[in-house]
Amino acid sequence: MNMLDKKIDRRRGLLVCGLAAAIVGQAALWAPSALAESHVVEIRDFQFAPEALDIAVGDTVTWVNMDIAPHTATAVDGSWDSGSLAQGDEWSLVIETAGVIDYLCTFHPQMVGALNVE
Amino acid sequence: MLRKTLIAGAALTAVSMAALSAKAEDEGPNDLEIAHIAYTAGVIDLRYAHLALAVSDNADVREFAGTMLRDHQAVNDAALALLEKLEAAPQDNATSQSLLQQAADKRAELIALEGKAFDKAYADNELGYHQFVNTALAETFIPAADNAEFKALLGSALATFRAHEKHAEKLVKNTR
Repeated sequence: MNMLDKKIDRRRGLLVCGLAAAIVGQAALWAPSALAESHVVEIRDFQFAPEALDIAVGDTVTWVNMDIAPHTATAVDGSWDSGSLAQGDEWSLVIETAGVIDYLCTFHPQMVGALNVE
Repeated sequence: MLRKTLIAGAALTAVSMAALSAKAEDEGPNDLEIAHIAYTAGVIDLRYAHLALAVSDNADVREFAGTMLRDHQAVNDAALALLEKLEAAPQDNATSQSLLQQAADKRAELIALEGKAFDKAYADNELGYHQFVNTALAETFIPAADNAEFKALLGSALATFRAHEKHAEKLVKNTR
């Protein structure tokens, strides 16, 4: 192998290493969203179903109102609020913090639910 | 093909109308009468709610009345949408007229009150009214309804009104 060939070979090696690093980097960036799950909470007969939901940070929760009456899904601490959901409406939220998040329907405060986020 | 589809559509509409049409007199109220009674019952509670919002300063009463406005309007809108889909019109009847007369009498009583006396009377009436309507729905109107979609709608309405009844129980305690 002459000097020129060695240089080209070295450049190829660097290029391969660079590409590999880029792919690993991308994979690391994509990993959380690839693992994130979606969950559905049905609002039916004035109850959140399931009433308690175990999820992970990064997961998406979608509330779907099956009742005739309008409802909301609203964090007790006021950090998020679906607003009024008419029958058939749905609303989604990506959960970004761990812990127990209690929520309720502001129109019918006896309706309560909880997200247990790990 | 189009003609066949039209004929099939017309036949379906005829079936829907037949399901919602008058039954023999000895079988109790027909679907169109039940629809009228249920819609009237909703309108009556909407009127009570408007009165409460006009008269009361009590936060619990106002919140309850606001919920009644939202929910009863939604139920009545859903009932009208179903009737429109079935190309049917609600049928006035003696029960609806009796409900309206009783409600007019009760409104006259409530209008004469103010302050805590009004709040307590409104709460008591809401509890009693929802208990009465829920019993009638569960024991008479839902069993008597023929059309499956209409029966399901009444079932959803009952779930709504039962939640109102529980809410009214709390309101009665809070306005004592």
